[in-house]
Amino acid sequence: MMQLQGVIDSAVKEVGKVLLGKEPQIRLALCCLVARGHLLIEDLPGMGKTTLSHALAAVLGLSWKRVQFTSDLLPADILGISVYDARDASFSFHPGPIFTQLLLADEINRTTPRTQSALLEAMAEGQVTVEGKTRALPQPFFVIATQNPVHQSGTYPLPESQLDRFLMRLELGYPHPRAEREMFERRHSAIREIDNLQQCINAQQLEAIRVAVSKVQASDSLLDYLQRLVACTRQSPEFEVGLSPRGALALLDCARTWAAMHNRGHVVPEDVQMVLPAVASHRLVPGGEYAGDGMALVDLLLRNVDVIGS
Amino acid sequence: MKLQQQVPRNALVWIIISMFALVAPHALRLPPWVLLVYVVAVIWRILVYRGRWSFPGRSVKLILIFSSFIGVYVSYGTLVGLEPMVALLLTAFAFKLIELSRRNDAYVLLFLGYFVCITEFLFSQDLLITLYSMLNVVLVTTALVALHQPGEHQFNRGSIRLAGVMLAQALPLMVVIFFLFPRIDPLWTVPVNNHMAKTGMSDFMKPGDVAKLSQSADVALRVKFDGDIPPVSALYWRGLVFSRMQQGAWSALDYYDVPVKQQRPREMRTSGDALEYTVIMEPSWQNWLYGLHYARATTPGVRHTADYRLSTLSPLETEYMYRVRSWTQAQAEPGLSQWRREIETRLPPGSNPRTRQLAQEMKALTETDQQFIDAVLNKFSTQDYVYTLQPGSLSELHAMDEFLFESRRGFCEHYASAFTVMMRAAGVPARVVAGYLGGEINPVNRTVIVHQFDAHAWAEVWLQGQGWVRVDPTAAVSPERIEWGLEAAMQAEGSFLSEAPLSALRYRNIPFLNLLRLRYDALTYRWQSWIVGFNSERQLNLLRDIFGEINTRVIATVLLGSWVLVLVPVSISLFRKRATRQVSRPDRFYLKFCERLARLGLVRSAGETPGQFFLRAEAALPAYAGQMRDITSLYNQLAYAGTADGEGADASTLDTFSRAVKRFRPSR
Amino acid sequence: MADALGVTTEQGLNRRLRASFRQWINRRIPPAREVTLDQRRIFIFPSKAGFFFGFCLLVMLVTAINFQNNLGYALTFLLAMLFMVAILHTFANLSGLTIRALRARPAFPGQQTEFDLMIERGRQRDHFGLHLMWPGSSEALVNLVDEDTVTVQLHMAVDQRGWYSPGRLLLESSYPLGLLRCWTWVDLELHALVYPRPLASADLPGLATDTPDGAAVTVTGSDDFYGFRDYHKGDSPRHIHWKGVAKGQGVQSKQYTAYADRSVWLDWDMFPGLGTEQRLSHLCYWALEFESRNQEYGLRMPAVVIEPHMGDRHRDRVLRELALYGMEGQA
Repeated sequence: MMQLQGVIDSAVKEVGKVLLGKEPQIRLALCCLVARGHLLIEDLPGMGKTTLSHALAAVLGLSWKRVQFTSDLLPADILGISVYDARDASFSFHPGPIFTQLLLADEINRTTPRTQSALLEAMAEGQVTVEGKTRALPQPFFVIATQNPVHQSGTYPLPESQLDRFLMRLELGYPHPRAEREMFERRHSAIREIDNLQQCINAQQLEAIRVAVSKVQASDSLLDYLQRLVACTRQSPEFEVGLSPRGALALLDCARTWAAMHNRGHVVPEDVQMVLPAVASHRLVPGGEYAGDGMALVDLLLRNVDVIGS
Repeated sequence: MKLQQQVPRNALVWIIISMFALVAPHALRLPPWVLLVYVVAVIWRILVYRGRWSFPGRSVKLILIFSSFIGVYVSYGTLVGLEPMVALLLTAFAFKLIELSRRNDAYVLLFLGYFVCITEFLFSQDLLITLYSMLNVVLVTTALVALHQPGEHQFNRGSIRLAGVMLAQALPLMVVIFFLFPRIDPLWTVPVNNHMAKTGMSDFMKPGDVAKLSQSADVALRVKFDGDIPPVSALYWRGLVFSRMQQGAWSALDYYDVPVKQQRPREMRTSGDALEYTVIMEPSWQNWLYGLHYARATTPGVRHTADYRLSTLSPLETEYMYRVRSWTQAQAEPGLSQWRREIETRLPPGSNPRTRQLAQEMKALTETDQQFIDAVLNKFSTQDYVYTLQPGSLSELHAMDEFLFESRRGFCEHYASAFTVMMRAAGVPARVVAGYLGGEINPVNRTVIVHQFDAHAWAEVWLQGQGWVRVDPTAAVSPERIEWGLEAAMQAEGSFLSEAPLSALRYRNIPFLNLLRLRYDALTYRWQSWIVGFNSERQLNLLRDIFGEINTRVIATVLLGSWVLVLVPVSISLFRKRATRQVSRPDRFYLKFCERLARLGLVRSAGETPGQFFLRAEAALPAYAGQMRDITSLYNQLAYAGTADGEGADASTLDTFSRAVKRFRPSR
Repeated sequence: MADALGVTTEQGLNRRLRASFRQWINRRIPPAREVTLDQRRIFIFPSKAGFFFGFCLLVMLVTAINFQNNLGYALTFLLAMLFMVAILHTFANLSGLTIRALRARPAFPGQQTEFDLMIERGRQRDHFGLHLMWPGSSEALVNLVDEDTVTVQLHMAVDQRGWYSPGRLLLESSYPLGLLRCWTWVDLELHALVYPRPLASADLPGLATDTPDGAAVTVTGSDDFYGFRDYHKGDSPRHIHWKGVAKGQGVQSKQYTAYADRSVWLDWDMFPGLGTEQRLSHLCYWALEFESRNQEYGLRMPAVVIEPHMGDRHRDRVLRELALYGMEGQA
């Protein structure tokens, strides 16, 4: 157990070398991957979205590919295509970039809904069907998608129903001034840190963490709290759409993973509160009269839902 | 139709169940076609429910109502009177089911149902009937409850629970009001049961009538003596005095046959202690009461007649209770008026010539009236006269001649009648008295149960200096009858209750069943004396006994007190149900901990976890940091580190935790 | 004249009575999104059936008196006391319930708006026959037996653009015996948004487009390649994927689509000379039209500018602005 936390800590530290001052987000991103979920990173360009995903792939020792999503990208460009081979007069399948362990789908909202849904389908099923033939994706298979904030023009925001497929959504935000200063200072060194990142977690360790997660207890009191949170999203007028059962399960899974990552055999409310913004903010839709966005809704949940039953 | 007006299926089933339960005790009194109407109504309503038939149209309804009036008229010959009215009510009740489509119809139907319950009490206030009616009230109330449970598409037995609970809660309140509510005299005269078969003695007696009555094992009356019970053979319950003989039958004098001056009973010299007792009569649909010799009733409303009988103004339709004092040794009418003497010696001219002749011959042979009486009785006991329940029929005019000289088989009324005729023929004033003799002593509560088969007829003779003296000719023929009762007297013949094979009395020799019967009879007596016989006099006595002085304030206090006593616990049970959200024990203690801190201005906000709250509290109250840390970590352990299935929380940890919270008394 | 005067004073009195009732009930049950029913908020009175029951009891009492029938008395009193007990039971059926306004669905005039409510019980007892309605709305009859909460949808036709307030909600029940009616009037502060009535206009006059693009939008057809699909009769021969045919893949058509980042501005000034309501109606129609064409559109009205975009939320935002135009004070 002790060892696991060490492993996680070293992984966080390793990624932290290239993404300065973003430890909480790195931890959440790791949590998401350990919980076998896909990750959506939403922020303005240049905030380090690509760096984060690249670094995560490196420390997890996963094969990774990157696809820049553009408006003319076709489903086939991701999934692959059968090409006629003149020599043996048959079609051979050329796998697309999706056949990797970690796929970075950059600016997913720039492409058409059709291409988006091809990717999302593959994410949900862990396999792709091209020209009537089903092919399994490598295991583990993660997608880290990045998205520009929806207010930019010329984008196709992911439909709300599809957002549910991402276990977590993270916002990176501007770096802390101190971290930014360090970034400036390092700029002069010749080494590209990202190429020198060490693998910190191997497949066996990842499996061990997952076993540990499966043993984490969630007590009645905690489940009550969880249910109060979920009930609040479904009953308060501030919410147009409440948390779905899938969303509620995601919340529990992430809280357990978070607890395991912090070496605890049981979940405490703090775990839930830590993962709640990342897990819930993209699943919640504010009600007609409510001015805030998903983050404001999460804030409201954290403030108003009593941790202790009364 | 409005949602609220819909009648759930469950309610419909309950309504039909309660309808049949309500009509059942009336069934024997009703013409059979009324029961047929019930069956048709239910089938019709079910077909309507299934969508095969439709609700009746206006004209069909009119025809049904009209024909039910005709039906009742044809069955009873009248529309007034209790029974035809009840029959009409029950028919209307059935018709209402056919057109039941909305909730408002159901209200009418079910409230009518309550009324049907009360009509049953007009016929019988028997304990079993009462219990059964209680069940009916529960059923009707259940239907009412089911009517307000929308969405119950299946028959739901559970609906009866709430109805039972509510009635049980209402019951004690009802008892209080029952005893407190002033008993008012009837507001107007009401129709009587003129179609009910009269039971018991009639005011008209032919030879053979009493023998017929003796086949019945029904209870006629129950008597409770204040002191010891006199010997059973001395219990001559006088009911009727037959002074007139016409066409071979004895009848009592009508009220108007008696001259005004003679109508009131003469003052009597009483001596010695009186027997005091309470009589509860079963409904007889007659207006005479029974009492021992020289009875004076202390219950208001009982009339005393010139021949020392008791009667009421109106026939007894339900059980009737009255108090009597009797002086068995008192001399009745020591001086006989001329009119009375003339009446009590009159015989129909030309009837029974042989008997008259015999009587005159025998009278001539004796000196005193008493000797003459002894001679006649001696004739009965020494010659071969047979005491039997199957006396055979006699002709009308010369019945006594036939009996005395030919058949020689007779029951008590034959002997009493023959004796009286002989007395009168010899010029001795005499009359036939009808009533009951003896009774069964119930060892359970020391009451005397008098059955119809205890019916008896005997004679009274007026003797100078003694007044009216009771003479029982049956004793001369069959002393067993007097001493041991009818069953013993008929042992050889085997005719006792031969026509009532199901009567519980026939199984008196099975001790277990007999005890059961007697216990139930004792219960019936108590029931009748407390509930059925409760009247304003008893009410006054009861209230005086309990509260001393009675005034409005006492009544109001008792009433309000009973309501508080019942309604407060009911409210508590209703409003203090378990909350849907339950607080676990660790939570309760932790909240107490929060409360203590809140008093110091340190309020945990809703979204604050125990850990976060601790950090804030630690900064604010560093002096208590250690205690608070312990409490917080213990709570975290109990609430979150427990097993997923809950109550695995270690008892000792909980103990430590609760003690830690109790010890925690922070102050600034 | 005198008559007319009488009528007006009567109406005035009526109005004043109603106003003071409103004041009183607002004090007693203040408007709130969530109301828990307690003693102060529940009214109880015999129902019509209850009065009829009382009459029946009277008849039964007279019967008992006239026949001097003690069991008749007993039954009459038992039922009278049942009525007393029923007061508590009827009251308990509403007591402890929490009514919560969930949401009101926006609607177009002439449509029905849907109000979502939730009823929650506070104690573990069965509640039956809870009847809910607003004046003029559909009604609902629900039980709370196995579940602790139940959601209720009530529908009501709306007509006027802007916020629609349904007034006070009536919650009543006469369970268990129907002899008493227990009710409450709660104002759940629930308002439904009513959009303007969409009104088609022949064409979008003076269509204003996003300036950088400069060209008019062609709504149908496009030249953006999208993918292949099997050839359908009627597909233009120009779109047939001839190279594929040559490879023996079968006849396929090229698909083009209109996923263009061209955006349209719906402008208040597009409809000169029309009244406010008519303009709003036309704008509403076109907003819906562009939304159905998957085309971005923005809204420009006095004091309101919404950047071109599309999607459900965007449409809702636009329609909301249209609905509330000139009505902010009322909301």
